[in-house]
Amino acid sequence: MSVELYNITMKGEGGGQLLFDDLDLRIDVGERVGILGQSKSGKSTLLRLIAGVEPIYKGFIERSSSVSWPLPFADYLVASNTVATNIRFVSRLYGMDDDRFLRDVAEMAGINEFLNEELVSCPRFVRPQLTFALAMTVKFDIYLFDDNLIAGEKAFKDKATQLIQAMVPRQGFVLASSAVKDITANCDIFYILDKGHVARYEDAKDAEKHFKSLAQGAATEAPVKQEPREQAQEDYSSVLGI
Amino acid sequence: MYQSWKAQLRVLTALTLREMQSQNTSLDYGYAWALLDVCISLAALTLLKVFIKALSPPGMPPILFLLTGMLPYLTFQATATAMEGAIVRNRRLLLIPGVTPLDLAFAKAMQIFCTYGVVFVVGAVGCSYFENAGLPRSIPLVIMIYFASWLMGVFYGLVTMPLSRVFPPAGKIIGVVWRFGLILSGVFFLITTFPEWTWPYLDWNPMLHIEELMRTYWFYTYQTPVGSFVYVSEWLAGLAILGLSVERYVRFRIPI
Repeated sequence: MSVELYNITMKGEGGGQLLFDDLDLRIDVGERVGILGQSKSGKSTLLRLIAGVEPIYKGFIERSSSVSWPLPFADYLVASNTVATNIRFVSRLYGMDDDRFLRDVAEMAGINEFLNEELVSCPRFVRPQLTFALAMTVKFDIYLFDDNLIAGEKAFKDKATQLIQAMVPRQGFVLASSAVKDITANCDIFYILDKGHVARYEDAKDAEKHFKSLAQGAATEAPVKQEPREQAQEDYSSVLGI
Repeated sequence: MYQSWKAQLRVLTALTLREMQSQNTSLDYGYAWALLDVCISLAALTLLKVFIKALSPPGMPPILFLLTGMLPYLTFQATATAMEGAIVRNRRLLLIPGVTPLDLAFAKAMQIFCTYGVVFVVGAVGCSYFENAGLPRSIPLVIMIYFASWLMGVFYGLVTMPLSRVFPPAGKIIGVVWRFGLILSGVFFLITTFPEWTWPYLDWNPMLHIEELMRTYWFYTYQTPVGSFVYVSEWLAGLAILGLSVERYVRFRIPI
């Protein structure tokens, strides 16, 4: 079970700079993958491609596992609706048992007392904790994190970190960030994204060294590319976990 | 295949309910305001009818006559104009895997169908009681032709959606067309009100056929001389093919 990107070529906003140049990438379920890249290198776009929510102009993606939306994305929540209504929306979207899903999310997020409150009037920590718990309760094969793993109160962060580490090898995650420490502390496989290519590392120190050299504008290592496969297709049903 | 359709239906249901729950949420009784909105539109158009002093045809209760004309047209118009707006307003939802622009557009269309459908049923029952009118001639055919008016709005919306994306003032121009459409589609009049020589110039309009058929299926005293369900079906099929093709063509070419 994996998500594989083949020969993805894509330009940035406005069609100017080349964001991905014949890029190949494979994410297997059970892996803890870190994508390191500098600002505007295309990390968020790459996560959206993995999620299957970014149009592909050249290349293709083979998806045989369900993938979350990039966390902590929360714009699907309606601020003037209650927390419970927002939870039920995600429950319906993914065909979950409404009541059980509501209970599990509220428990995981620690927001039982806010269920009937409008989201807009809830304390600030509710939204990130709710977003995290919603995605975790859907039980995707691969989770995508943009910029950081968890936001919220410290107690929740500790609980969530344990949860994330415990989900491997049944599930996996991809964390895209420019913070080397976050990536090396939480991941086993590292990709350095630079000038439209990715270089793969399995050693944190090598990845860190390469990334730092990029930051100093002295990258010397050639990107390591994977062999493309011939057959592929978009499969949204797997994204929806069916 | 079946699983994919099931999943798509699930997404559509979730989005439709979300669309309903998001209506006027800043106000108390949020969704009730959406229903009231339709009632106010109906009342305004009824006043317009009084203003132009048009008379209802004999044998047709006046308010029910108006209701059977206005609801299909308002449903068509609201559906056709709201779909693009729904995609633009909810475009962040497209970051959720499995949610497509078409889902957002169809969810909005479903919400309109439910809202206007409820107003139609409640209004028709109320008017029939108030005006002491009997049941429609054929309830299944009334439902079918009302559904056709909604479908016409969906497919017309699919065709015009990209237009507004490429050329934003298109929405305003289409709005002007709707005002003429209200008159030309037989919302306030039957086609028999017009001289017979004008019929060939008016009956190209599929909405006129829908209005005529609605009155024929509702009232025992009226048989349309021009309304054709086959003609309506041909328009639906044509607009469906054109609308879906246009949507597919612009999907990756014109950003939302």
